[in-house]
Amino acid sequence: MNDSAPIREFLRYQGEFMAYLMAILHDFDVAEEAFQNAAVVIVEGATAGEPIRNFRAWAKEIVRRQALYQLRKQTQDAKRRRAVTPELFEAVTAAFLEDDPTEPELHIEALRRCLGKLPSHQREMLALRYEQRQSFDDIGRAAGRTPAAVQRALSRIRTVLHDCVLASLRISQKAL
Amino acid sequence: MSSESPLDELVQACLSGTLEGSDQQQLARLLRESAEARRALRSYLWLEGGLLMLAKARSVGVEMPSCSADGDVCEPLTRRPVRASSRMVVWGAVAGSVLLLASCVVGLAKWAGWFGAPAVNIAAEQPPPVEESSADAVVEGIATQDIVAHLVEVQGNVEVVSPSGETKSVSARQPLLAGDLLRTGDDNSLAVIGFSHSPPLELYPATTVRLAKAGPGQPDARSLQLIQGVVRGYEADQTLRHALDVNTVGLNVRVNGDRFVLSSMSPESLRVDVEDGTAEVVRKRDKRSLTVEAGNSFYVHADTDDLVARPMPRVVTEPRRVLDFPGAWAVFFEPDGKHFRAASYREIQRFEQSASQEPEKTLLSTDTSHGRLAAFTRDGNTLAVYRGLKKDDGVILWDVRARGQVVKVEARITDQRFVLAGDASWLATIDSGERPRAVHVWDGKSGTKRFTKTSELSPAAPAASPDAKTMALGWVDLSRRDNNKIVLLDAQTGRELAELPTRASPLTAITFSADGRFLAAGITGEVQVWDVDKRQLIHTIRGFERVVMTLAYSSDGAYLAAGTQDGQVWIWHATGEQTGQVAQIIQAGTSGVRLLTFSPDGRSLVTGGIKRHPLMIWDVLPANPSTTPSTPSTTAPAATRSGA
Repeated sequence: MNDSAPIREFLRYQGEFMAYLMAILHDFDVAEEAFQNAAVVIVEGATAGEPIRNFRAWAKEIVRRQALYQLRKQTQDAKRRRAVTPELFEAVTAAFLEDDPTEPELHIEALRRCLGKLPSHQREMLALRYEQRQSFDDIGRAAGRTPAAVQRALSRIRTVLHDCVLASLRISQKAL
Repeated sequence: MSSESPLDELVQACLSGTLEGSDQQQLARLLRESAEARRALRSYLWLEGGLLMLAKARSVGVEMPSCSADGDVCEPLTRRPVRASSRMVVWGAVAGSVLLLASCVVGLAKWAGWFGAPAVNIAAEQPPPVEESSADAVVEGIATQDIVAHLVEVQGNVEVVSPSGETKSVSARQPLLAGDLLRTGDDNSLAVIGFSHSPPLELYPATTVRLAKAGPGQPDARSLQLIQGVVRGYEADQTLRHALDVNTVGLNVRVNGDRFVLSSMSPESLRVDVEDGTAEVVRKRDKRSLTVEAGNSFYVHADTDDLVARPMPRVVTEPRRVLDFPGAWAVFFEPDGKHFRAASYREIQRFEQSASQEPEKTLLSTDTSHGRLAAFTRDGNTLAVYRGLKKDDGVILWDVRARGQVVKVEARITDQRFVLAGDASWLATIDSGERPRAVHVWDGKSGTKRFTKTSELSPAAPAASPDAKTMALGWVDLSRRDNNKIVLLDAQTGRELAELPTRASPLTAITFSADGRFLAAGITGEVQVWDVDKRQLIHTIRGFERVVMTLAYSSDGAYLAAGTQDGQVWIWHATGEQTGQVAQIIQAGTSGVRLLTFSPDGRSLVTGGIKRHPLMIWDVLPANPSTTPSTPSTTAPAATRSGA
């Protein structure tokens, strides 16, 4: 594996890794810091010359350690509320570390197709939440809805997308 | 949320960060007990990750991040107009983490554009670069507002790859979109990129760039990401204005008016080589700047509260001699200093330093493979070789004079993790695929194992002390650099004698000075020098930001040399007041330098590298003004400081 190969491979799974970090840390900036630190460790590990047999498992372990490190920092910081309990951290991490056959490229293509089917107002809401990282309160103010209603609406949109992506992946697999 | 909320709701709330106390407990229990729950979580992780990445792609697009608050020395620019003949060569010497940004943009760009919310369409907020003909025209179904440049001239092997990975045909006048990757072959290929409002850029052979949209307020800036190679900028009158030579990846380049603006993700330093004209390096964060005059090379380092420029020697690119022995892994200088032997797995060749006659060759094996490792003992009488191609391979110790096998050690080695004691009394091997991770030390006479050291950490860069009594070994924790250390072991028993806490990025090379007093440890971006007896770190060399593949002291200890992954050899003063100052930089090729041996008088250095790199002999500190050693200074005489 040359220098850029591990990073390319790491970036193939960046969505999965970032989502895991978000689930654990609940703060985009902190999650991104953990992600960047993991990337540095990956680069350093790759340049150390040791062959990496199961890249994804190795990378996941590094991401897990970075998540744990940030979680500990959160715990030490009295001003910040710890995002998840140790029990949930262990449980979510166990699920994250399990083998998963999902191919990132197929998944993102399916998601792209499914997003294309959404009505524009739903895409806009997703953009506000994910791209501008607005809070439920802010989105609610902009849309004239309560934060709880925004949260429910986003939940419904995600459920629709989730089902659509799974169906799309099933169709793709049959076609293959 | 009720205590028995549906699984999907719990998972979504978890990923949104809105899951509270009892619900956290409930989800943890479900995940522990139910494979279905874990599948659902993973499934939603993928969805959430996909949405995050698409959103990021949309907000990042292929926009070149300007020099951010993270960046320290990140915006070299020419303030004063430089002369038309000026040429500025800048090595962006940035640590490996910079790779990430380049790849991020590459990876994300292809998924951009699917949210489509006008309020967050950054591209729409900027004046789009306009094709000369018509802003409303469509080229092969693509609105020209997406076109940022076009190919003006193509020569040789040039390739355009779209963000989705599709290779496009290449021709003159071909439009280039933001995110397109442009590569020139390493022969005499050339590409000239034209811009609607700016003079063209020329790509040298073996150059890879990614096109980017201009930054806000700079609609006519020529923006690209220089992944590798050389880019030249021309002025409107077609005179050459700038040239960049970047030997690291992920440097963002914006040509704006008469200046190059460089930025990268988290640069702490830049190597600036100004051949003519004037360059200015600005640190945005605290508005400090440095003017760098022509005729010198500088290492510009962002210190905690100031910018520091150190003059650097020029890079030497011409060896005294090139020897056609590409498989060579080891070199031994004979005591007369005039002759040396080089060895590969299957043969030894004896050269005379200054003469060009054919070398004397001794064939050790009829095997035609190049093998992987070879090492001489201190007296040159024993050679250890390892081929590493067949299962029954082991390390063979040859008696060079008698041309006979002394002993065979049944060891497997990976990644050049191998060291032979100077008196052939022992050798250490590492098979990095082994679990638990281990280093094995073998007796050089009997071939039997002396001891094995195991750890959860990764062993790295074993080295033998000159008296062969001590083995230095790095232990590397890939996730916590604070755990990284070197241990000194009794080579007879394996007893740990001392621990040197390097607390830094992975160790990739260790060597002892000839008198055994000092130990140098090569780490990405730095070399630590330890006093072996006092167990103290006495000096840390920084400022070259490269992966060290091998280290060597000159026999008198005056110089320490490091071979790097990108084909350079850095030589530092290792004694006296100049300790730690760069004495010479050699460009020995473009691939990693794995072999470094000083001649006994320290005036010559033999280098060899991976990928069938030839052996080269270099003069150390030749009497050439261009390689005059730098003066120890933290404030360069040729550099002036001012408020930006």
